[in-house]
Amino acid sequence: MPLGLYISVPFCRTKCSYCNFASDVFSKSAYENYVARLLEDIASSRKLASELGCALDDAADSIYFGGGTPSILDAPQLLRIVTALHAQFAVTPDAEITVECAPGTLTPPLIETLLQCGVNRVSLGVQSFVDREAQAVGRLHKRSTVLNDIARLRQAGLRNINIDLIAGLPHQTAESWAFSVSETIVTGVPHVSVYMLEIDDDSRLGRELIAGGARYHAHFVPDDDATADFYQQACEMLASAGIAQYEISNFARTAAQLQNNESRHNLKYWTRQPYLGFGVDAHSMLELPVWGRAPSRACPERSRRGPRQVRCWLDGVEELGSCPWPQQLWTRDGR
Amino acid sequence: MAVDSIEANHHQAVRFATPDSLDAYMNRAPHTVTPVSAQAAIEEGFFLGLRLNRGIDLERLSTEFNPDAVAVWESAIQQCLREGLLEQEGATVRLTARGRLLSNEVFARFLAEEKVGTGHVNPR
Repeated sequence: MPLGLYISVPFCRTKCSYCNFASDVFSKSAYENYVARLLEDIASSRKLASELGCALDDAADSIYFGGGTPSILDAPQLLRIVTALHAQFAVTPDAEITVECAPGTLTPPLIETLLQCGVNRVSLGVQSFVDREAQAVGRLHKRSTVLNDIARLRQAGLRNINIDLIAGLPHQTAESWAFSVSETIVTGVPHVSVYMLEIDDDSRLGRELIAGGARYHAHFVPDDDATADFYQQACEMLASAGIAQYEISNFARTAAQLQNNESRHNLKYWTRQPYLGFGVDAHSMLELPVWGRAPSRACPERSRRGPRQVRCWLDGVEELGSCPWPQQLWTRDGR
Repeated sequence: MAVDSIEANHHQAVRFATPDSLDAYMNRAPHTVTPVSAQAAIEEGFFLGLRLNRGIDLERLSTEFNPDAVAVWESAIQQCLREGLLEQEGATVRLTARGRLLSNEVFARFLAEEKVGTGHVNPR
C-alpha cells in the first residue's frame, strides 16, 4: 500500500497564543541544521523500518509538509527535502503534495519553489477572517492578505487550497464567526477544516486563563456552549454551500462540483494506512508483514506460550537495532 | 472477551514517533516505539473510523480482525443509538451530528466499556 510521508517543520515567525505544538520561534541558523538532520532521517528510513521488522512500500502517494510553518524554509531547503524524498521513495505521478502555509509568507519566489517541488495542494492557516480575532492570537495576517494569497496561488495554477478555521477564538461572536465561514465559502476553496479551540493549560492562552492577565485576551474566549454552537453553525453553512463534511473537522466540495477534494494524506490516518513521519514530533505507523506477525521459528522463546514470544520481541524493538531475534525471521517465506 | 485471547493476538503494526523537542531530535534521542496488537488495531479501526462521516462497517471490522472484538462494545453502541449520538444502517454505524459535536464523550464511553468488559487495558 502506498505510503503517506509527513515532514514536520517546527519553525514559526511567531508563536500563536493557543498553540502547544512542538513548534516555536528559532533563529534562521537553526533551519539549515534541521534540514540536514531531516535528510539523514529520510536517507535512513529503510534501515529503521528493517530494524523494526516493518513492511515499507516503495511507493508514496502523498507528501504533507506540516508545522509549524513549512513555508518559512527557503527555496533550496524545500527543494533538498523533496529531492531526498524522491531519492528514497517512488513518489507516484498523481501524488497529493501539500504544504501548510501561513498567510503572508507566500512570496512569488516561494510559490515558484512550491511548483518546482511538485506541490499541488496548499493549506492556509487562516483561523479567522476577522482581523481583530487573528491579531489577538498572534497571527500576523489580515483578511486581505489571505484573499491576495489565494488569488496568487490560483494564478500560479495551485487551485487545491484548504482553509483552516478555529471556532472559539477570543472576541469571536456568532456574527463574526458567520462572517469568517461566509468569507471562506465565497473564496471557493475546495477544502475547509474547522477546529473547536481547546485551550491547553501549557499554552500561553491557557496559562493566562489560569493565572490572569490581559495580554492574550484569554478572558474574551467564548464559553464551550458558544464554541459548540459556532461549530454547528459552520457545519450547516458549509453543507448549504455544497461543502460536505466527511470527517469531524473536515469538509470538501463534493465530487459533482469538482474532483474528489478530500485530503488523501489525512485519510491515511483515519483509515489506518501506513505513513512515515520525519522531523520533530513526527509520528509513523507501519504494518508488520503478514509473515512477521506470528514469529515462532528461531525464537529462543519458541517453546513457551505466545505472549512470552511477543514480550521477547517487544524487548528487542524497544531498543532499536538490538532485536534479539535473527533478522531472517522477517523474511517473506517465514523462516 | 477473555484476557488470554487478547494477549494471544499477534502484533499487526508498529507506531513510532520522534521526540517532541527540537534539542532532543537534533541530539538523536531514540524513537518511542509502540507495537500495535491485533486488539489495539481493531480499537484504532473503530475510533478512527468513527471520525469519518461514512462510519464503520462492524461486520467488516469483525471479519478483518476478531469476531468477538466488536461484541465488547455492543451495549455502548446501543446506548449511543438510544441517545442519538450514533445512527445505524445495516452493519454500518456512524456518529450523528450531535455525536460529532460530543465525539470525545462518545469515544470515552467505549473505552470505559472496554475496561469494564474485559478487565484488561491493552498496551499501545
